[in-house]
Order: sequence, then structure tokens, then C-alpha cells
Amino acid sequence: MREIYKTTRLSVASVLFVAVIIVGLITTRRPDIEYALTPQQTIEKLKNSNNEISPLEVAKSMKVGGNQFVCIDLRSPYDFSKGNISGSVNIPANRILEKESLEFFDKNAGKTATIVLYDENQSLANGPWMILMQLGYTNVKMMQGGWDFYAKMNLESPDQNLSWQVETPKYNYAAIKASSSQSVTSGTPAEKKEVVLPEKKVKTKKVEGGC
Amino acid sequence: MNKTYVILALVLVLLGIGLIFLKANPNNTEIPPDKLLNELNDNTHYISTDDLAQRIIEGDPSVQLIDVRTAKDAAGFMLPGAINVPMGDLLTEESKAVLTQDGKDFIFYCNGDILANQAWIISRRAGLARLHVLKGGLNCWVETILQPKPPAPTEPQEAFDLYQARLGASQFFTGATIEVKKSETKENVDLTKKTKTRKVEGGC
Amino acid sequence: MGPLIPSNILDPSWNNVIALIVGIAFGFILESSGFSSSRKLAGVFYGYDFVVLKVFFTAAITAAVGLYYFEYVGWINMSLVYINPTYVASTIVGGMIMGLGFIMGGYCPGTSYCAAAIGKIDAIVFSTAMLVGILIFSEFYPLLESFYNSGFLGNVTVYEVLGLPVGWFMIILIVVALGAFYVTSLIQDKIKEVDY
Repeated sequence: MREIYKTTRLSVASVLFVAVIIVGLITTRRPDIEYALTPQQTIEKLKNSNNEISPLEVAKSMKVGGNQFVCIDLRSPYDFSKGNISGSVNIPANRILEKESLEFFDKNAGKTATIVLYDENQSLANGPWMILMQLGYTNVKMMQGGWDFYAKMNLESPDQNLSWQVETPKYNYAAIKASSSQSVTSGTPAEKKEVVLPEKKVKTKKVEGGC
Repeated sequence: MNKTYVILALVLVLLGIGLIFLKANPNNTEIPPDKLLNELNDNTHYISTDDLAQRIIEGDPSVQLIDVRTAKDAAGFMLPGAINVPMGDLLTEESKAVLTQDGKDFIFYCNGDILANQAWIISRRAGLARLHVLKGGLNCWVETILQPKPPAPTEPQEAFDLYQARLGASQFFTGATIEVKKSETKENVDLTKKTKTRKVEGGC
Repeated sequence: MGPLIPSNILDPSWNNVIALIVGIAFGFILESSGFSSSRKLAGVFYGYDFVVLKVFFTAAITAAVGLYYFEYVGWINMSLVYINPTYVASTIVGGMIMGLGFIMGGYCPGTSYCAAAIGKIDAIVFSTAMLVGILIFSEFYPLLESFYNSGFLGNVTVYEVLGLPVGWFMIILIVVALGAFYVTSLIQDKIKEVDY
């Protein structure tokens, strides 16, 4: 058996290979908008810097008329027209990556004023803020609580519980779980029923009687 | 020496040299910012506490809860079946192994939903799929599942049905440790279900 | 886009179907390149035929170059591609044992099945013996376990361990491959042609 030199097939294969790569290179174009931070840098920034501003701080600054903050309203134009933080600019959340919006952010990027994003609540502002932060805008922060809290806020007697901070645990979860399971394991079943589930008993009876 | 081989070797070397210059752009395996923003604005990545409770009670094997709080917080309390992946460890190999399991829906949760949402964005940007965020987080979990509030009498029937379901769920989650031993809790769950159907039939 | 199954474009149940198709294609190429002949395979060690080295090295560098271009173009997400875990000590010993078996039997595992499929008796014996070897290893696994798991480096690639950028590592690999092809062709010319 002699070795057959299949060089023609090799040539065809390699021409195809190069052609596929060239087609790929031609058809892809670099996206217009690119991330400036790597995922690792993003995590570092999330951990190490203060990214949130309390609505109280914003309200105080607005009251004295300082230009410490540039507020961006991420709600729809309709909601914006019904009420907003005075002096804020309306850029709906789905349009923050449009050309004009990015130009606006570029213009304000170098200045000392902090860009404050707010929406109905903080969760809604969080996504757009994360996107802008990963695009490399460093002076952008999001407002805690959002418009829901800001609109209701009373500057004279602000909420002492800081209830706009949704990330603080409002309950001691472990205790809730422990209390209910402890009463079960330590007490007799009868006791447990009286302590933990009084509402339920009432409820079931009421329904049965009703029918 | 065959001439074709020389040409083929040159092609390979050229392609290899090309690779050196290409590596300057590592970003394109990621989801681009505009697509990510669209997905965020859809708000379809949220899962409600009621849906989650129902899926856990039904024993849905595809639920994989991810606790993104710090290890210290997570040591105190975690939802059943959750794995703790603190924010700082999100990109490690172990976390990647957790988040690429086959056939799982990954549900991030924290105290509220800010942190979980941020974890969602970072993981989604890396191209991972089937990720969700627990709407309202553990605070909402306590308010709606562990300690549900009865609806006002004027509220529609749906509110009462929901409340019944939540009571059952509450019992499942707070008394889950004794559920096997004592039959009372289980019976109670059944009872609430029964009364619900009866109520509808009776036309009350 | 790719890899198709980890990025949920195809259902995981397609795994076996794709494996079957790729396996048939692989076997076909092996057979058509003459890899079902144990003399041709053993020729690498005796120096009269280096086709095995050329084919597998070419396949490796072509695939690697193609993959990294595909990654740049966005057709594949390399972070989702599975990388075999590396166990240094056991890999070295395992490689030596496999090389010994390769010289003695004239087949590597894949080609032995390929040759068995076209009815070569030595290949059938070889692949049966391989199964016996697997059985023996499995039975003695508790004894070998600590060694089997030694030298663990994680799921790493060579350029990560060396700390080189991918591009430079690929260039080095290509140059090494082409150098090997040249040197082996020189050796082959010197050695008297063996009729097999």
C-alpha cells in the first residue's frame, strides 16, 4: 500500500477554511456601544463604592437650589408630566442607550455634579444604572426608594426608619423560622395550634359555616 | 518537498499571526448592552414570591435558588435548597459550575431585589441563561408567604384565594421540619384547599 | 451563538444524536486516511510513517485557530466550552502506559474500533483487551484513587498555566507543529521505505 498524497483535497479544505473565516470577519462589525468595565471590575465597583443616594439627600439639595445633582427621570413621559423632581431631565429607561441620551451623559460625565437616576422604585432604576456604570460612566448613581418615596416624603419629619432602603432586612428571618418550628417541637401539638394558627382556624370555620 | 505543503504552512502561520491582533477584543461573547437593557425593561426576569412558593411546594426539580447575600447572612437563614453565591464570588469557577447546571432555572434572591438584580445583570451579560430574580426578595417573602396578611372584606375573591394559598405555603415553609412526623399540619393544608372549592360551589 | 447545547439553542437530548453523527464522520476519516492499519500507526515509533502525527497535529492546530477566530467573530462562547480537568502526575503515567500499548498493539483506542469495524482480527483482540484493562482498573480503583487524583490543576489550558496570551501561544504551537512536520519528513526520507 502506498501513501496517497491527497494534496488537492487539503488545498480545497484549507481554502474553504480561510473563506469561512474571512466571511465571518466581514459580516461581524464591532457594536456601537461597548462595555468599558469587565465583569470583574463591575463587581469590584459594586462592592467598593457608594452607588446609591438617599431621596432625603436629593430633596435637601433641591430645596436649597444647589446644582449638586443632575436628576434623570427614567419613567415614561406621561408619568414625568404628572410630577417629577424639579429640574430633572426625562430619559425613559428604554431610551438611555440612544444617541442623544448618550451624548447627554457624555456631556455631564466630566463634571462634578452627580447624575442621579430615579424611576418609580429603585429596582427599576437599578438596571439602567448598571448598564451605564458598565459603560464607564463613573459619576452616575441611583436614588433609593425612587419617585414613590420622594413624592410622599416630608422634609420636616423624615422617615427615621430609612424605609426606602430595600436591601436592609426588615425581619429576622432566622428568628421567624425558629420561632414557628420551636413552638412546634417544644410544645404539645395542641398548644402549637393555639399559638401559631389561630387565624387559620377561624378562617376555615367561617367558610364552612357560610356554605 | 511538495510546494502545496509550503503554501499551506504559510497560510496557517498567517492565520496564527492574525490571532495575536484579534485578541484585543474580548467582549463579543457577552450580551451587548442594548440587548441587556431590552431584557431588563421587559421585566420578564422577575418571579413572584407566590409562584416560587408554589414551585417549591410542588417539588419542581428545576428550581435552583441562588442566595447572593454575604456568606454570614446566608449562614443565618436561607430558603430551602438555596446555594450561597456571594456577589464577590459570582465569577469564580465554582459559581460557574453552579450556574451552568443542566435543566435548572436559577432564581437569585437577596433581602430586597437590588443585589439579586445586579447579580442577574452580571451573569446574564456573561451569556448565562434561564436566570431569574425573586421579586421583592426575602422581605417580600416574609410579608407574603411566611406571614401573609388577610385581605380586606371588600377585596375580590381572587385575593381570598391567594390568601388561602399563602396560608398553606406559610405552613409548609415554617413547619416544614415537623411535616413528616405530625399529620396535623398536612391535614390543615388539605382542609384549606377543600373549603376553597366548596366555597365556590356554594356560590358564597 | 455556540456551543449549541450549553447555550440552550439545542436541547440536551440531541447530545447522543450529534455524538453518533460526529463519531461516524470521525471513523470514516480515520479509515479513509488508512488509520485502520496497525503498521501505519506503529510507523510513528519506528520512523517510517508519520501520518498519525501529521494528521492529529494538523487537526489540533486547525481546530484551535478556527475556534479562536469563531470566538472573535462571535459564533462561539469559549467560556462555555468544557475543558478537561488536568491531573499532572496521573496524566504522565497514563500517557506512558498508553504509549506502550500503542507500540505493542499498533492501535490507539479510537483506531482500534475503526479497524475492528472493518473486521481486522488484531483490532478485535486489541479492543477486547482494552475493555479487560478497563475492568481491571475499575476493580483496583480504590487502591489507585489517591494517585489517580494527584497533581490536580483544575480545568486549565496550557496558555493559562504559562501566562501567555492566546495569540502568542497559538503561533508557538503552529511553529512547533510545522517544525515537527519538516523534521519527520526528513527522517522519513532517510529511512528505507517499508512495504506494509
